[in-house]
Amino acid sequence: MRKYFSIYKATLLENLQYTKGIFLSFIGTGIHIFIFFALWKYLYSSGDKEIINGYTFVQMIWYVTFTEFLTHFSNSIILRKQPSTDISNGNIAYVINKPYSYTGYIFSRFFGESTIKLVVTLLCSLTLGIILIGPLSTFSVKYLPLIIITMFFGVIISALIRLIISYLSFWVENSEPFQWLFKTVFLIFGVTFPLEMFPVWLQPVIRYSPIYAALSGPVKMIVDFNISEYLLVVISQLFYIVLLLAILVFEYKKGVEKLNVNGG
Amino acid sequence: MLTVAKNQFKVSLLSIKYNILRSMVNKSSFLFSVLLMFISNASFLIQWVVIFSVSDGADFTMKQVLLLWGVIACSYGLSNIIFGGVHYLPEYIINGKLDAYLVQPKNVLLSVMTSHTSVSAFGDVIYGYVVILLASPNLVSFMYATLFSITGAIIYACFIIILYSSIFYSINYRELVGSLTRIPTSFGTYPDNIFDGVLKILLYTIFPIGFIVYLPVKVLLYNNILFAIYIVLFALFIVLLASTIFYLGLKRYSSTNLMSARV
Repeated sequence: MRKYFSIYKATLLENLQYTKGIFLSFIGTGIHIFIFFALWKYLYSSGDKEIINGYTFVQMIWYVTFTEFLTHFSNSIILRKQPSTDISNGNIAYVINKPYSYTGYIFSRFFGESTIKLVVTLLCSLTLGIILIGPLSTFSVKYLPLIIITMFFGVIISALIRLIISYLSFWVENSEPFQWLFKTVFLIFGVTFPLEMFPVWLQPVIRYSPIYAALSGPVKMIVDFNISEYLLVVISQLFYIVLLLAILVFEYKKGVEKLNVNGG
Repeated sequence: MLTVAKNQFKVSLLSIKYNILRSMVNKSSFLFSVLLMFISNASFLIQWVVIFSVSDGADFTMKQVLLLWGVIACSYGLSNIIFGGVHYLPEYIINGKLDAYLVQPKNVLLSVMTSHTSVSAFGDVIYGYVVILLASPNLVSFMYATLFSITGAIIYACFIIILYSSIFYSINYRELVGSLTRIPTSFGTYPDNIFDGVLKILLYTIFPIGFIVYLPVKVLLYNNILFAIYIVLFALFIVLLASTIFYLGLKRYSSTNLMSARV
């Protein structure tokens, strides 16, 4: 574990040099939050409604703020592009011979990058949310430790999916189109709307999907905590983490075998 | 003067042609990227179906939304096919790669603009036309769509050039302007009805999304020729503005000893 901690520390120190860049990269996420604010403000006021499908305007904006926050997190170049680049330019042949697991190396780097990103992005998200809509009255600090756990699991699920997609580069020349599709699907079914906004027949499909486990479920616990719902979310998160890890390990093994056949 | 312009136009066309041919070398990868971009864009219609299901008093229609998506997809796509090089400006400026363009007896800005083509952008253009013709299936709409794809592509590319020209003055602007380049596609996929006040003024001035997508949609909806004239005039204005700002910035460009050639 020490070697992974060293990789984590090195990436953390590297990213400390770019704090300003991380802060500025939040502008794009801030713009999205602002657009959703304008959209929901319009929808609530045009229909003269106080609640839409169980959500107040304040809850809706905080929901979008935190789903955007989580999405911004997993949108890491280390997960998205580094494995694809290493595979396509052949660098992977040198990296896999090193005395550490390549997947462990990528994850250590991701967490190193995320530590700084967490502080900066959380501060920006909270500030923007407070400015746009004010505090969330349904939020209770006593549930914070439980919420942090489910948010962490959510980040792990998104990161695992990103990495599984990146490893597709073992088979296809460019895995980036799959990343677009993943981003779009997560944006539509997780970021923009809570589960309750979708047609009734579609809700069970989303509820048991990795999108709910990674995004909607954890964020719902912030806007409206419910212990029985919380337990269901955590159980589904643990299930998806185990499943995605198994897929990742299998995919990497098969990918490296293919790479050896091709001569690296 | 006319011969110079004609030659420059020929060179630019050749550059675009070879960019496209290069991007099609791996046919399966090309088709796959185009298809997934098409599917990715089309998926957003689900978002609008959900929005319409919760919007009782909204004064925008599905036709308006389809036209918005169509016009922005065509403009963004065409810009990235023809002027894809604008996205490489920061790299060229910071790493001294403009040298290769400066030594050529050609228009520097146009050569830079036409130096790259985005493969997935073909998926955007195809999607854009499909959606526009679904919303408004007639010849006039097709002709307007073509005109606004061209003006939108020009305005979008010029907006990016203006933003990235700030890097000539300080490398520190890179992240900030990089984030701002997303504004047209972020705002352009939502009707302007939802924005008001100062923001709405900004969307028709500093951030020219109004001229890329909102006014073209109004023309497609209400056949307002006056708006079409405004759009063409604005496109000409922003070409002059972007060109002036770029060449002013270019005076501050410092070459490096990087050895490279553009053949």
